[in-house]
Amino acid sequence: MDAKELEVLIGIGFTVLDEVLAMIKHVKGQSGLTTEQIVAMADAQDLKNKEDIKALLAL
Amino acid sequence: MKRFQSLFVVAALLLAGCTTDPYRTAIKGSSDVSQAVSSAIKITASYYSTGVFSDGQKATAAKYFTIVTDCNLTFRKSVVDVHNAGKTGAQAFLPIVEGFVSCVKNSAPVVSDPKVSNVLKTVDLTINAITLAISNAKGAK
Repeated sequence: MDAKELEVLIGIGFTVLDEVLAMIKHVKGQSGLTTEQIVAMADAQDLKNKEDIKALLAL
Repeated sequence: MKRFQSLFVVAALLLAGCTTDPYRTAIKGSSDVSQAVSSAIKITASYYSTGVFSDGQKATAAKYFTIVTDCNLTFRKSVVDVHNAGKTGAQAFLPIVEGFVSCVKNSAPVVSDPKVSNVLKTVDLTINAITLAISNAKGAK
């Protein structure tokens, strides 16, 4: 493995770790919400996901 | 890299253990899927921008994310409708979860590429965890 490959691997590793933390934050954040608030949050997340998918395809 | 992904999978599985009533469990499961898709999109973008994923692999993953998001929106709406109809037991919600699983299975692209399937696995796992969580929810039996 050369330095460039290691740099790529570390970069991806940080992204994955960030997402693990986001998942934990997501779970903790849900506990204080009503079910209706979680529905609204999920609806907003799905809309954002659709926009993010468009952005991903445009990369 | 698989170690990081395993950690992610464990985090997703932990979500299935936090059960309340079947309605709330189903909604939380749906919300978890939305979050898992969001994370998978970011990981895919990272893979692509660093040259790990090709254009084709990125497009396959994006198609999968679109299908899961559409199926999840339908799933969540059905769960809310069943709840508003006054149904409370797990038996009322389990067929809707099965519909969600089938919706993704029947429409998602066949992924034989292990690199792509590793990224999609977490989302898949979160979807399947909803069935388990509802079966174990309070008042399920």
